Amino acid sequence: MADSSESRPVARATKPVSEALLNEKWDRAISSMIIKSSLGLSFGVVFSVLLFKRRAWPAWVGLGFGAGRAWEEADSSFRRGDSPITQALRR
Amino acid sequence: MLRSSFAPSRQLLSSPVRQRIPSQWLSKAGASSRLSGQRFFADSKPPTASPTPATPSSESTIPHDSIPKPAEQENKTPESSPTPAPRKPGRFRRFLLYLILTSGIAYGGSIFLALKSDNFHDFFTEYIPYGEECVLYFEERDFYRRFPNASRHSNRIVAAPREEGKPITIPSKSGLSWKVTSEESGSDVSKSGPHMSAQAETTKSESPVAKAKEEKPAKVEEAKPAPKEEKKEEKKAVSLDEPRQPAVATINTIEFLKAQDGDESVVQELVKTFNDIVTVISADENAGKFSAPVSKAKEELQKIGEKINSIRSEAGKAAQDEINKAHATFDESAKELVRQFEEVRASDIALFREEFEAERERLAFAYQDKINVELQRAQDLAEQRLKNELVEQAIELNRKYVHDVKDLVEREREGRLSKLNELTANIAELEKLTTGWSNVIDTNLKTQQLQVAVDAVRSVVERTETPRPFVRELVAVKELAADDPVVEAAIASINPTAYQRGIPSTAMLVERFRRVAGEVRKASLLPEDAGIASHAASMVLSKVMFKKDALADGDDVESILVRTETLLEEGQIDAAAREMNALQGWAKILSKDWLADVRRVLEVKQALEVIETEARLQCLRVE
Repeated sequence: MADSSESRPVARATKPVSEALLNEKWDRAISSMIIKSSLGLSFGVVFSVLLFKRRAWPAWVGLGFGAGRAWEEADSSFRRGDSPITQALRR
Repeated sequence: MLRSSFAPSRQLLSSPVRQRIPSQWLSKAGASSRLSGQRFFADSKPPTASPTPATPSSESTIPHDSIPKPAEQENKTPESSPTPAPRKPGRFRRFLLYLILTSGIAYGGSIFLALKSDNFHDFFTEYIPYGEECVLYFEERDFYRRFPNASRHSNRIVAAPREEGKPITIPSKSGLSWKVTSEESGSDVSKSGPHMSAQAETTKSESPVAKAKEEKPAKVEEAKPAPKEEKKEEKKAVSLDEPRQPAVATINTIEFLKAQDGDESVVQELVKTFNDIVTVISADENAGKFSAPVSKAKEELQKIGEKINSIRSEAGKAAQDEINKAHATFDESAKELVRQFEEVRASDIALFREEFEAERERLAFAYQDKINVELQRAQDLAEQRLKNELVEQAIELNRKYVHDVKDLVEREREGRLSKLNELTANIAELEKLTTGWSNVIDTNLKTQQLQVAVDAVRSVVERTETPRPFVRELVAVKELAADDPVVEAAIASINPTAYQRGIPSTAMLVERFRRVAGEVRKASLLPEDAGIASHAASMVLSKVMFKKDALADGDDVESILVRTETLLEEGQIDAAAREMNALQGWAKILSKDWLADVRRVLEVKQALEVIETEARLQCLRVE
C-alpha cells in the first residue's frame, strides 16, 4: 500500500466544481450587496452631515443606491451564468 | 533660276514680235545674275512691253522665217529696247545665220550623243522633232559603211520587221527569172571599166562544164561566125556569169579560141593573147580582112593544142605502164613478205606449243603431289578419329559400369536405409509437435500474464477508497499485449487524465451525486435567463416541494434526479449517466462535472472489458 500513499490525489483545480457554481454566485452577490449598501449608507451619512444638516433621507438614498447597484450586478451575473456560449468561453 | 529663265522665253513666244538678238546674247553673256531684278520687272511687264516692239512692219517680215524653236530661246532679257526698223534686215540675217548654225550644231551634237548613249537616244527620238529620222539616217549610214555586202540581202531582212506599218508589196519583176540575172550582170558590166577584157577574164575563169559546153560551138563557128555568135550569146546567158554583149559586138566577130580543158599554162597564155587579138580585130571595122589569117592561126593553134594533148596522152600511157610495173613488183614483194610472216608464225607456234606442253606436265605433277599429300592427311585424320572414338567408347563403358555398380549399391542400401529415413521423419514431426506445444504454452503464459495485469488494473480502479493513478498497470498491460491492435486501441480510447489522476469509485460517485442532486434541486425551478430574484425564489420554493417516488416518469428535474439515484443505487452507472444527460439549463451546468467523472469511469471500464475479452480470445485462439 505504499503506492497509495505515494499517489496522493492531485490538488484540486482552482476552478470550482460545477455543482458549486451557483453557491459561489450567491456568495459574491451577498458580499457585494453588503459592501455596496454599507458604502452608500456611509456616503449618505457623510452627505447628510455635511450638506443636509443631519437629515435622515440622504442616508437612506445612499443605502438604496448601493443596494441597487449590488442587485444589478448580481442579477447580471446570474443571467450570464447559464448561457452555453459564456460557459464555453469561461472554460 | 530655271523658272525665271523660262518665264521670259514663254512671254517672248506669246508676243508676236522678236527681240533684238545682239542684246539678248549680250545679256546672256554679260551677267544673268545682275539682271535678275530686271527680270522680275519683266515678268510683271509683258502687257506693257508687247506693244513697243510689235510694229506692223516687223510683223509682215515674220512669215518668211521659220518659227523659232523653244530649245534656242534662251533667257532673253526683256530690257530689249525697241529697235529701229532700218537696222533690221542685217540683224535679221545674222540672227537667221546664228539660228541655223546653233540648231545645226545642236542637232549634230545631239545625234552624236544619241549614237553614243542609249538614254539620250531615247530622249532625243521621243521629244525632238525630226530627231528620230536624223538618228535613223545616221545609223543606217553607219551600218552600210560597216557591212557593205549586207546591203543587198540583209536590207530586206532588217528593213522588213522595222517598218511594220508599211504594206508589203511584191514588185512585178521580183522572183526568179533570167531577166533579173541579166540585169544584174549588166549592172556589173557597167561598173567595171574595160568590159572586153572582163569578158575574157570571165571566159577564162569559167567552170570546166561551161567550157565544155562552149567548145562545140567554137569549132563549128569557124565556118560561119555570124550565126554562131547568137547561139553563143544564148549559151552565155544560161551560164549566168557571162556578161551581156553590147550591141556593137554583133557585127561579124571572130570566134574566140577556147582553151582546152586541163591545158597547160603556156597554152592558156597563148589562147588568151590570141583572144585579145581576136577581140581587137573583131572590134575593128574591117574584121573581114583578117578573118582568113586569123582562122588559119586559130587552126594552127588548135593543132598545137592537139599535139600537146597527144603528147600528154602518150606520157600518161607511159606513166600508166610504169605504175602497172610498180604494182606488180609491189605485189610480189608483198607476197614474199606474207610468206615470211607465215613461216615465222609457224615456227613460233611450234615453240609455244612445246613450252605449253612442258608447263602443263609440270603443273600436272604438282597437282599429283598435292593430291597425294592431301590423301595422306585425310587418312591420318580418319585414323585419329577412329582412335578417338575407341577411347570415347571405352570411357563410356567404364562410366556405365560404375553407374551399374552404384545402382546396385543404392538398391541394397535403400532396402535398409529407407527405414532410417522414416524414423528421422517421425522424430522431426515429434519435434515439431513439441515446439508447437511450447508455443502454445508460451502464448498461454502470455495471456495469463495479460489477464493478471488486467486484474491488477481492475483492482486498482475499483477497490480503492480514493482515486489513484494506474499508469504503471496500464503500461504493464500494454507491454504484455505486445502489439495487439485491439488492446492498443482500447488503451488509446481512455482519457489520459483518467489514468494519470485515477477514477472515483462507485461509492464516491454516489456520494457526489447526492451533493449534486441537492444543488440541482435548488435550481430546478429556474426559468430561462433567470435573474437573481428568480434564483432566490427557486431556492426558497424548492425546499417546500414534495418528493417524488422512483417510478414516476416525467421530464421534470425532480423525477430525473430520483430516477438517477435509484439507478445508481442499483449499480447501473451507464443508465444513470444517460438520465442525467437529459437535464437542461442550469441543472445541466451544475451536473456537468459529475457527468464527466462518470464518463471517465465508464470509459476505463469499457477498455478493461475489451482487453479482458481480447485476452480470453487469444487463449481460445491457441487451440
